[in-house]
Amino acid sequence: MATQSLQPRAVPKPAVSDVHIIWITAGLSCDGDSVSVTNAEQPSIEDVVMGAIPGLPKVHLHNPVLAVEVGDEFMKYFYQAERGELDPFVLVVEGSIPNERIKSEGYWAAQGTDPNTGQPITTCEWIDRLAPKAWGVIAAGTCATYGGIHAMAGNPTGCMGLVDYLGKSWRSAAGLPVVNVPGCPVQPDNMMEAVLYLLYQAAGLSPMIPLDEQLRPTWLFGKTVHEGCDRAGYYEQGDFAHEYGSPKCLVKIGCWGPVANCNVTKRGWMRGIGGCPNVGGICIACTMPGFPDKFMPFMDQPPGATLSSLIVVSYGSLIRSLRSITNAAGNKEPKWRHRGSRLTTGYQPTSY
Amino acid sequence: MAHTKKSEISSHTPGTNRGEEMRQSKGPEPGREHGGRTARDSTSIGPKSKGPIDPRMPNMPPA
Amino acid sequence: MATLTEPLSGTERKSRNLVEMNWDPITRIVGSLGIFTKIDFDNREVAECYSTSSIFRGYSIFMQGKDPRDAPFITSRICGICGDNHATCAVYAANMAFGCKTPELGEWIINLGEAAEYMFDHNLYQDNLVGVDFCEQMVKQTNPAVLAKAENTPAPNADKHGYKTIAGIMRALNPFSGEYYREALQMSRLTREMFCLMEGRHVHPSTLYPGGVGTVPTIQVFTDYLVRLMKYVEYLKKAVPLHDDLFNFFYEALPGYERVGQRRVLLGCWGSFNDPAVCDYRYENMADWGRAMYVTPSVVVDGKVVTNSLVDINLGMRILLGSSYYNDWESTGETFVKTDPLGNPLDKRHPWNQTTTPKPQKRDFKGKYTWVMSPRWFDKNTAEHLALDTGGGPIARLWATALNNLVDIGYIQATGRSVKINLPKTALLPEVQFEWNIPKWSNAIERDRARTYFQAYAAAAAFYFLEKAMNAVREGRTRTWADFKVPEEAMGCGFHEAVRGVLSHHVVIRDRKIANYHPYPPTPWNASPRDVYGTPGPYEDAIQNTPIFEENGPENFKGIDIMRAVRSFDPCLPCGVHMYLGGGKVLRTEHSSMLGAHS
Repeated sequence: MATQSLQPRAVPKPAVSDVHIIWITAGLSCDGDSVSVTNAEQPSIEDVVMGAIPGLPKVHLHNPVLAVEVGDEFMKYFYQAERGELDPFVLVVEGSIPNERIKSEGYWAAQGTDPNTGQPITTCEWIDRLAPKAWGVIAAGTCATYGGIHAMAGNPTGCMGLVDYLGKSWRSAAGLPVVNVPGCPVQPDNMMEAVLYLLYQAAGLSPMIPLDEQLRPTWLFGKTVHEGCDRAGYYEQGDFAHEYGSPKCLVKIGCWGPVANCNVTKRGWMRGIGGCPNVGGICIACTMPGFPDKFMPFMDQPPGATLSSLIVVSYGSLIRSLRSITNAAGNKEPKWRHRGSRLTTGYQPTSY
Repeated sequence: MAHTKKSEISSHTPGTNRGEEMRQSKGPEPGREHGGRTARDSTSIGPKSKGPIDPRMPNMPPA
Repeated sequence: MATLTEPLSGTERKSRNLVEMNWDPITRIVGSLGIFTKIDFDNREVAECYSTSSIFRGYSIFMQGKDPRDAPFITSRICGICGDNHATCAVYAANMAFGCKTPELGEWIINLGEAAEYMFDHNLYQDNLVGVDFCEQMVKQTNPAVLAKAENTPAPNADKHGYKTIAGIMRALNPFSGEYYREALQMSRLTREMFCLMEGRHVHPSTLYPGGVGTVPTIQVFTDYLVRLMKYVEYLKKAVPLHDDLFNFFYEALPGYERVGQRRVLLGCWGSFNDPAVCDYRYENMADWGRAMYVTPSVVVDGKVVTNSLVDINLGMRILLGSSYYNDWESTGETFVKTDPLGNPLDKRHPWNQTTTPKPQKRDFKGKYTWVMSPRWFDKNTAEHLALDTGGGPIARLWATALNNLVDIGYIQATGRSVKINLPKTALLPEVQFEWNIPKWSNAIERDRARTYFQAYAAAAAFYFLEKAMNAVREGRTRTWADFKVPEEAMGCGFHEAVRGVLSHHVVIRDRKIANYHPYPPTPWNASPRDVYGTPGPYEDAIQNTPIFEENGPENFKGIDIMRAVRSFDPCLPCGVHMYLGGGKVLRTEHSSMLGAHS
């Protein structure tokens, strides 16, 4: 047998050739989730848009922060999606959903102009028009997932999360619940990984995206901050910070890590760099439905932490002394490493 | 809420520590007593042997 | 729909054919903005411009009654690209209100973080958002003759950036397919790594607190920053000449382009980068520590510094209404504070005394049409309410710093008419000096040019801050945060430069809670509508009277010159302004100047 030709492994063709992403930033938003997405590298937005990931459909992104088109040229994709001309499309919503019903006129949030009335089209109206037609819907960032900062007590707009607006039992055209990817802003790679998963799903290459009871991807939000924090060792040893700038556990000066669902301590903010308590920033539980009201004032010790840290302090104190002894022993080399003329390693030479 | 109305929202749960007053109420952390950082700031496991051995060397414990 | 009117006798100009053109939304900015214009295609200029905002969130309302320590965390969420500028400014205001001072090393860490923010944001905005307006794909559609000329124009600095012709630069700016577009995106991530090293996460920092920062200062964290800074500086040595080549070409290829986006020099800069040796956060000393900042604060009118005192700057702030969806508070609202801490009387329209009462209603361009208010600066010398602009940030910062002639840290030297920026040797390239000269005009091209220069300014400043920080670590001065007690009653203010320009936070504390909080980012200044005196806001008057160079007629009109004018201000509108590209309705009206005509 001479040479065998190498057959390239065939990459399966995706179930759909093109997927459009219609991204609404016009909730009550700071646009931080769109900006975060430009920060992702695993995968990057250009990796996805330029087809650097095998097996995916061609992705057409319509996000106002990056779009080439302006004004009506940009809005035409919204109208096409509404008419069913862009199927399948994924609708991404960013920003809190305002309550336009609590007043008699005007608008809290809008995008584009109604050609009949000359008045702006509210964001809620766009959601009403587009969500029912979408293959899938992603709520990007805590404002869109659960209301977030703009929905705190005393707010004038009555805003809420997308699922509060559409209802928990809402399902997309393809039968998916809203996919909530919280974070304030959303951690860059968390968002792109969730988008990637949905693209694989749209391509027919993966099963339904696994979501927990708060509709978060389970593989991203299934752990607490504390379970991923590299300062947890200080907690276990009962060694707590009394001031900001300390390298020790921050639970007594405001950190909500033990009860917040988030992976930022585990994966860092980007490229393994940065984060929150792992780098000296108290966790303010910004991925959680109760954010921010249930966690303010942020610099106060969380009520539950008093008890748990009290218990761990006495355990920790004991453990630290024991560990110090073992650490000291481990910091000494075995006695037989010396220049002396007698071999004391335990080997009994017979030939020298 | 009118601007002059006294706020009913609690901004502090009595009995819990205010983070910015921890140092005032509980004193400095071991390893930070004198302004700078010593080895004890970063470790409680055998800190004495983790500091610099020569007085000309600055204290530079890890993060 | 057309309206025919008879020209008034004695009118200077003939009747004009005005075509309504609106762009809503403006893309490639942050937030939502709409612009509504009337274009005179015969005379190829913009006759009227209205900028509108379509989003209201209510920070000044829901922050009332909250704990003042939470202000940096909450206000960061005002903006998704420069939120850390808000968090920093909130820390400054809180320090003043609480009577505490960030320790030296904490101040260097904040300066390094904010420098990284400028390096990141200007980079992303300039070359991934604005750059598309100058890319080959766009120029081909709007000005094919200009593209043809660019193919045959050698780039004067080709040896520095590697693109032989101007068209080569334009091709490299094409979105996604352009090589320089992609490189800029990667650099925007490198700079965000630098940011995260200091402030934890981007855009809403985790390590900033009233009193300082929680970042643990080690040689490691500063070395990690330095190594990345060197890579960015190497890239800047080609970025600055590349943009100079591109912008100079536009002046050359389209004579008169200096009028695009031009307005009177009415600039505000509130200063950036505190010097910890001088800044004690006390209002009484604010004029002094303001002048010691490494970007000098000023109000600049017609090329002269009117003041560089943050106290004077503070006292001149006025929030006017006129075209905005709010009820007025002048007669009904509470006076929160009668005087500043020095005893100077405070106007009812000063942010410390503002009451925000939203009144959502239908949009009416003859009446109220936007959620943005009209911040103005009251010049007591002339009794005018000046519609200051920031030019998107960099131009005002460089102009103010140059004129004041105060900054000299070796890496940066102000000269009175320019700023010299000295970048050290990098792996492949020697030391380089860039000099930004005060330009002849406050216009679109100069605002854009200044942006790339300011990236170099921030990088140069970062070297100085790193030296100071590493010294502090080696000498054991490692405190980064100062403790404090929240007072029962207090007032505070913070002045900073957001990426896009002036940023102030004003807070009044009662009963240990926030009684009043009013942040004023740059965009309300720039995007403000016509105020009650009829003065249009900066976008409105810069775009009005902008000449049209685009080769398309009304049918394919992209409004590229208007887009370049708008984007030169780097609109950041999480409180949005609306530009409207309507269906090309023709109105024939008599000539009338719209400036000041409507309230």
